[in-house]
Amino acid sequence: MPAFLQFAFMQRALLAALLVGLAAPSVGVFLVQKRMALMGDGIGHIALTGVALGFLLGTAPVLTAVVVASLGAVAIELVRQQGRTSGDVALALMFYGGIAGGVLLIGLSPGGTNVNLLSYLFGSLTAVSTADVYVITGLSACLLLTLLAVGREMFAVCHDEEHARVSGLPVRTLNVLLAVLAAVTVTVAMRVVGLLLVSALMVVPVAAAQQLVRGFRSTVLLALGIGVVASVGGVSGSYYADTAPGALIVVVALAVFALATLAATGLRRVRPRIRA
Amino acid sequence: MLAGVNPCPVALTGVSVAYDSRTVLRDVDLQITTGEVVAVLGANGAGKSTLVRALLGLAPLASGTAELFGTPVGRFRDWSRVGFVPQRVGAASGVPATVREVVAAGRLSRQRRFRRTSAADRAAVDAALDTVGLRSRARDSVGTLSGGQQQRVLIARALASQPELLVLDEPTSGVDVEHQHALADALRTLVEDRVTVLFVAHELGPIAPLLTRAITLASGQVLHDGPPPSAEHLHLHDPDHAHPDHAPGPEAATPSAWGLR
Repeated sequence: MPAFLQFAFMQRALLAALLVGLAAPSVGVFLVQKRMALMGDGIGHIALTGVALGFLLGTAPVLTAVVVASLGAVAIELVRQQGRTSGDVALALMFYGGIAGGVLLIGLSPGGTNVNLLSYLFGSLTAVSTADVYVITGLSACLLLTLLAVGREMFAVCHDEEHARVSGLPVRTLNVLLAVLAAVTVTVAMRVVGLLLVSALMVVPVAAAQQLVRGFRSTVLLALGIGVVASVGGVSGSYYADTAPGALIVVVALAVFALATLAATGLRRVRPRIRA
Repeated sequence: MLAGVNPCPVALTGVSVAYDSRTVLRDVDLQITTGEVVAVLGANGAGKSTLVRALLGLAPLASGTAELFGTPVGRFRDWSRVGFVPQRVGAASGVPATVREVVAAGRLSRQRRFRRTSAADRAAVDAALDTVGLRSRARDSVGTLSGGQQQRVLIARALASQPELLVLDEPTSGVDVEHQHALADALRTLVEDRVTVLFVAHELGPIAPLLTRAITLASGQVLHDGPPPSAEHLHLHDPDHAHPDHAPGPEAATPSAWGLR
């Protein structure tokens, strides 16, 4: 048994990492499918405003972050549905507004410094409190159960929105639900991975998995595995390296992506030879 | 027509559609009865796709009514009776999916929420794949299929709900002749089962013999509605689509009567 497991803060961080490793790619796969891989980033930036609002009001930053991030995510989705502004520009507006709002509000809050924000931006091993673990567990459980229940419908909507509408699916509701789930994921993951890197954990495991498999279901399962390896591996490694866990988690995920790409390229080279 | 007893699968009455005050469809009337195979023809921008989209509730009506099986489309809930093949480039999306996974999505309109996939669902997906001749590719990633095969995957998805009305938006665009024949074979099976078919086409090709009726749109209005053009005219209507093997013959003047120029 590794030595760090005896520390309560590491037990909490690892449990949180495990849940985040499962939650982030399971929502991320639908964002990638919709070709909105950067949505998580936009929501992460908005969540920063929520965190700062928590500091300002003296309430738990995780709660204000969930609320503000969800509102922002729904706003992005409504703008996209209206088609007035391209989703691209809508995301850009959210990026800037979120960061600016966060820095502004933290400056206004009593005793608030940008140092407080750093642990939210890049994650922190010691930051995960017992209360955080409860919140993370509860939210991840809701999220995974929701996706188990509506996964088929979500696949259909993200694959082909028009066909889904003609199939009688509640397309608008499912799109808004996905936006809220993405916001919840960002909030769940921010203590461990950090707001600036959370989107990477939603997207990179999916990108790595799809190098190796042919189907959607197999992509999801493999992405969950890669997500857990990256988040648990990154948290463990950052104990020894004494770095922010978010950075190491993303580096591990990117390394898996690189290996998967190499393996896929190798397979493509070998297969024609076998056939011939 | 006994509207109350056996309502038309398709009924458009005085339908107009406008995007940003530009009228795309103007006062269109169209009734299609069970078992008809109808093509909507016309040049680019004539309003062909808009007609289909208005019928399915995907484009808002500026005026008029669109009914599916006697129910206004806004209140229509029986979506498993309608199979739709949208106009899109390929069947792939941002994440790989197998042919079977994509086709199974077409089954959702018949499935109750939160129910597991049943043997009947699997059988319907198999049957749809058989109809388009792609059963052997069921476990392959759709992204690895050719354009024509991906088009057939989308048709199989529309068939998975065992629809009574099949609506296809440009099913033959960008598809080579071999796949057009495969498509025609699939449609022939359906027509024999009395499925009503409405499709938008740029060119007809091998599908032409299946038609019972053709509608020509120009500038958002119905220019012609009646029996389909005879086979020798079919390749001549599209000025931006050259067919070197079909030199314009003496019939070349006829298509102008169809408003296809």
